Amino acid sequence: MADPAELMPQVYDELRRLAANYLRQERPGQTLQATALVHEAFLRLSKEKNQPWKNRTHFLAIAALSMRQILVQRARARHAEKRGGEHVERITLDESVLADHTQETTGGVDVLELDAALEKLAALDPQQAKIVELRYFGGLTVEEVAEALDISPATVKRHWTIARAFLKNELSPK
Amino acid sequence: MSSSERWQRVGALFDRALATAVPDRLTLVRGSSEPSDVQDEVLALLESHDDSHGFLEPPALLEPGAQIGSYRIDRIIGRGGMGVVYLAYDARLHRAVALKALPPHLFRDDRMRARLRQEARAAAALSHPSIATVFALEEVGDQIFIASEFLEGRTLREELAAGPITQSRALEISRAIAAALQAAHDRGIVHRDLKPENIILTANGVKVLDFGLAQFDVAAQDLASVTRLTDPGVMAGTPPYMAPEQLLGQATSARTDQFAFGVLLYELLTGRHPFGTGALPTTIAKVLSEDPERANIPEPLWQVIARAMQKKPEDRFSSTQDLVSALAGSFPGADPSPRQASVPPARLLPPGSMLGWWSTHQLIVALGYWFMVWPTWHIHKWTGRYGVLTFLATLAIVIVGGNIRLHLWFTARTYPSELAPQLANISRLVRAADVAFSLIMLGIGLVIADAHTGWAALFVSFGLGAALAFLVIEPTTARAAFGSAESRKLKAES
Repeated sequence: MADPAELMPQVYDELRRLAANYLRQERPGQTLQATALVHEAFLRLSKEKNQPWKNRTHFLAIAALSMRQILVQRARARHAEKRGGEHVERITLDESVLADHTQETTGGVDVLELDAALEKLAALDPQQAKIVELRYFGGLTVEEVAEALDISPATVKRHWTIARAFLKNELSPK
Repeated sequence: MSSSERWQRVGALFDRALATAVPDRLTLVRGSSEPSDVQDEVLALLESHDDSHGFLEPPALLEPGAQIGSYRIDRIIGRGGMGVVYLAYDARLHRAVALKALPPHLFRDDRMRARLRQEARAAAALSHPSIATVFALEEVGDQIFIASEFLEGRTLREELAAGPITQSRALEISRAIAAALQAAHDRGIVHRDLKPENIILTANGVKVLDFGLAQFDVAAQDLASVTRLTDPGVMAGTPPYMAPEQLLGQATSARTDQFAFGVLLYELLTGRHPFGTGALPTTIAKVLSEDPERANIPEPLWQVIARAMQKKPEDRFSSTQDLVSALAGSFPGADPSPRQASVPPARLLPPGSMLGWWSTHQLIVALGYWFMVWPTWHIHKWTGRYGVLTFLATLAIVIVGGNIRLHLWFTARTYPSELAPQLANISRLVRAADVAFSLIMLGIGLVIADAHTGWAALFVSFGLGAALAFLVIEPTTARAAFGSAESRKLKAES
């Protein structure tokens, strides 16, 4: 597999552009759909020649990383806007809708906190952090993650379970 | 012990604990040989784990083996922003079905639920060999999904990506799509999201699916029964296949599908999108303002595409049936469609076309030919022994040339889409008749000039007139009617 970083600019730009488009059109009650964006980006970019990625899964792996960066950047930008204000707006991942159904139980996940927690996890086990990135930011299924990382689905599930417990622990108000 | 080594031991103990029944976990962890800080961390993780149901879960798709209603999920076969399609097995009817479901994060989105219901109703209202059959709309708990015919094959997108498609195959596919559209439009249903991804090529033929944006044409249905799924001014569809009115959020109609069909036909014939695959805003700008490039598309098909892709809906085919007929008559060897006779002729002319001038020219030349038959007979005794021979030669030329002209005139007015292939075959013959006629007329004029000046003037003027017609006037009207490429071709042949 080629280094995703090399392939980033194309995918990243496309996703950022799509995200900006979606957000401009955003109406109350509507949410940005990260998976929808990733898949739309795939459909669009897959038409181009000289695709540097091997297949759809490979693409989604790159897109997941891009999506994470886009959401983190957006969150940082909004924090910067609000700096000095009365309160800092929490950017929750319900923007990505991936967490839409968890929103009710957890009140949403702060993108920046999650990003920081993922960095901590990556220091302990890079592969576990990668799995979270692929599933959460890229919307990949267990099988697709297994294919992308060339490991067994059972391993993905095992890693996913403990990674999720770790992140839950990190993100819980202490 | 490094932190990552330590994390591995935490993980191992965590896995063992998870494999144990809940009440025994504490005993297992505390009884392990790991240091107490590792034990503490594992217990904390276990607690978080029990509390993390749904946490960070992606829009969890139904996993293989999952049971939903009477369907058992086999695997995901397609996925988009608005839906997931599974291959499933219907335990009641013992057959494979395609289940189209909303992703879980949209379960409670009323708009999306309504859209899925509408899609099911639209597709269920249609029974056509080229439209995927919908079996049922199911609502199980929170979930809502459509069960439909499972189609094995590949999408037109995949087919296009695999390499060039032969013209006859392209026509076969496009005719099936057009027939499916006509069936839908006849029932007042507009697809609105026609694109290569929504067309599946199966062993049993072409299938149009995904009526996800289908709309019951307001004109064809009771207004009150129509649910608006997209607000005016809000874009829904796939931009590179959307008609200008759809991009602009204006009212859509069956003619909106004509536009997408034109794009599809173009792509099928040339292997590329008429407006390129550049950045989305560029494509949208082109859809709104630019005419597609002609490329190497045969004239009759190009006429269909150009008409279907008119920017203004009212300039497109007046009905899908017209489009189907034009397509059927647009290539050699086509079965003449019985519907063709009912097509109002004038409507098939491309808007703004100068074909009228060209066909008028054909008529005038033909009448001119026939007009000269009697004078040629009248003067035969003045031209000596060649008089009768000259008359017979003229008659033969008039019969051939004049009749062909009349035929072209009739075709141009009635089946303009069939004109180009016929022209290619007979334009040389017509040109030969023109030259011969012109020479004979001039010859007669010169021979009888001294004795019968008045008659000679008639023959010379018709001879010169015919020469002028085929040298100057016809190329001009042909260029006006067919564009420069076609008229160059005609010129080269002459």
